[in-house]
Amino acid sequence: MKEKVFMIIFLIAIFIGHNTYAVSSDILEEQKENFGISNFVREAEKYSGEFFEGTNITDLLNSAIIGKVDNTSIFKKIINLFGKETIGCIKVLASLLIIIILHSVLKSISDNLESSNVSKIIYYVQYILIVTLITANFADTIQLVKDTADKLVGFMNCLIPLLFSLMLFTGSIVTSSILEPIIIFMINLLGNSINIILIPAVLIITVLSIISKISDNVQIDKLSKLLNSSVIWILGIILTVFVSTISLEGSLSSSVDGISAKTAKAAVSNVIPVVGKILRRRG
Amino acid sequence: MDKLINIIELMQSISDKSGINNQFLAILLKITGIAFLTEFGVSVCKDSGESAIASKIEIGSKIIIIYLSIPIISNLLEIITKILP
Repeated sequence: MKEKVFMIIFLIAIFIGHNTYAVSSDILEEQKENFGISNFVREAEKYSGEFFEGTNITDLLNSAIIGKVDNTSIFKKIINLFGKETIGCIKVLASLLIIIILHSVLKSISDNLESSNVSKIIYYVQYILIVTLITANFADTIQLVKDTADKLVGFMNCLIPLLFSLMLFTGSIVTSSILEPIIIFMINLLGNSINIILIPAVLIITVLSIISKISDNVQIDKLSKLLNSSVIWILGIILTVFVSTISLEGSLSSSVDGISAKTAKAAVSNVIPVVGKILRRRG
Repeated sequence: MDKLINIIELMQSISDKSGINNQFLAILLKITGIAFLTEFGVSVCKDSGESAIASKIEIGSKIIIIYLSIPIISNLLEIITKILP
């Protein structure tokens, strides 16, 4: 008798209507606010330049969170970027070629003059003109490299807190706590070393090679070759250190993460009697 | 004379299509012309036996060439000081 009453009350309690909430997009927005993703998008737009002007980043992010990543449009944008830069380079090369042709025409006219001094002066003036044009283009390139290095460091500084908070929330505790200071240190090291060491070295190399070609008497060739190879070497060393550190630490700590996650699951499933079996079945 | 004009016009059209300043081409052509003139003057003087005057003509032409190429050099120095951090 008691059980029947209990059953009836139970059934009534079930069938009184409840308000159920499905997962609406409000929860997505809430989660995004929690992690500060919209902040990140705003900050990142400062650093990524005109790359993302065509598409809408929030739409991309929303569709990526749901699960479908639009590969083709991203690919097309990257190829577009490459194409634009290559065309700009070709234009610069074409103008340089025209100038060198003009220079050779003039030189062939003025080469057979008797007094070699006058022809030497004309040669120097033409050489200075060519060097001027080359240097102007070179200055643009160097400015671009500096800007890119700065933007790289800034973008990474924006991205890494977000990335590591996401990693923390999805479980890889050891990875994020070990990797985060190392990655931030390495990236700042790379960006600053490009700005402080490499670019002045490249400028010095340029100046030295320009000077060494002016006349045959001044021989600074070997010095410029030494600086050239040393710059390439230093860049290679820094990149190798970066890649090897991150890969080592990443693999070590992700294995530790796997171990600790399994340990936590085993502990929970053994200690808590009923709910733990569910975890074990799931895992 | 016509042929020279044709050559100069060709060079001007080429330099218009590319990105350089037209002034530079004018300076280069002037310098080449001055070199020609000094060459004529020097050889005429040497032919008539006045080789000292010939060398002075040479020096004068060098000074004029350097004077004409001042804009180019100052342009170069400007760009170099722009690069330096």
